Amino acid sequence: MWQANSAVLITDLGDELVLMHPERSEMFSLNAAGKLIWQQLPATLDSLSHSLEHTYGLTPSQARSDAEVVLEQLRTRDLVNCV
Amino acid sequence: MNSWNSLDAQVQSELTPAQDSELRALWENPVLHSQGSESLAPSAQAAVGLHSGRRSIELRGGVPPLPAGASCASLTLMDSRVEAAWNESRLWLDDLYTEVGQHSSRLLVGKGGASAAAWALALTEVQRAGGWLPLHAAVVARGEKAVAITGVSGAGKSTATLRLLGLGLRVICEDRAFWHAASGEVRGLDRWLRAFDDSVDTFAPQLRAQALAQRDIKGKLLVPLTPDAGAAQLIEILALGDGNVMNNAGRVKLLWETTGYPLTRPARDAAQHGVGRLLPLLRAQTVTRQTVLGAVQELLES
Repeated sequence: MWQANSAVLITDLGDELVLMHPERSEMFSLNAAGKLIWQQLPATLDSLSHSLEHTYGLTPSQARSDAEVVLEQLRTRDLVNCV
Repeated sequence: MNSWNSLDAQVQSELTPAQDSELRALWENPVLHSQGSESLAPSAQAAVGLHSGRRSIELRGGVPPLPAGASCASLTLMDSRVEAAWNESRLWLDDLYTEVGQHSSRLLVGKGGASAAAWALALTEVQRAGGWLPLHAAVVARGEKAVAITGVSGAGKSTATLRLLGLGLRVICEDRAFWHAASGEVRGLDRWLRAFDDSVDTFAPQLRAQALAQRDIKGKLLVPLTPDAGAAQLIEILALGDGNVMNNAGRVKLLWETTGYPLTRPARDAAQHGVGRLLPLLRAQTVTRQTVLGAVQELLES
């Protein structure tokens, strides 16, 4: 199960979500697909992949690959973790 | 019990007269009924506290023990270190405990008292939760329109503010501003503009006669301000820089650095909302030391 770091400060710009890690003062911007993933957390990889697949008409493998890329980018920045 | 006002909150204090007096010097201001607030929708009026009872802040003694599982950090503010712990809406700062709420908050101080830094952090957190976004920015006004100037330390904010005061504009604050996200009203909590003699002599010599006899601990002159002369709406925020254009992420980062980071959930929820509302007021292109005065005057005269 993937979950958001509860300390992250979120600024919603409509089609873009800007995340700020308050301890690191690092910013990370999510596009619409990334925002879709973030807003569903906590969630499993299967669930997030399924959402991308149906929202953007992706193949199951492409949706899973895209979700994994976003989650890994978020995890390496301590914005999410997997429990 | 002492009763006084801070932004839109009614403060009920059972602290000692000395403690109460110190806080009032930094946090008390009168209630202002701005046109902006009166024209708000009922839901926003309730948020401002105009109809459904004002926000309340209670100050008294007694600190509950720190629970297991609280987040902890050592924070530095005002050149002093504060041991902080927080858990959802509860905040411990040294020997000061705060229950932070949107409509009511309680601050309980232990027998050892609390440092000025701890009080500042706690009361800022309480005001955040009440919908007031703190801004480390100077605010200058003409009539009911106000412009904020922000920037990193040394960028020229204080000099620009001194020059604008010398030009006859009203300085609402030097660097302690609070912006109300629901109404757009901006308030200041500074009583003076602090400046070294040579700055006053160079940029606004006519203000020297207004300076108080006493000086601050750094030897700066204290020029009285009139932060509560009237309600003002913030129309734009200018960031001092080299004239560069900031992207969205850069603008968001600057606003978070200007407002500071909340600790408790009620303050974080309100601040996130506030930053989103404030972002459209932040000009993407920074102003320089050379262009800031003209930019402020143009905005306030338009």
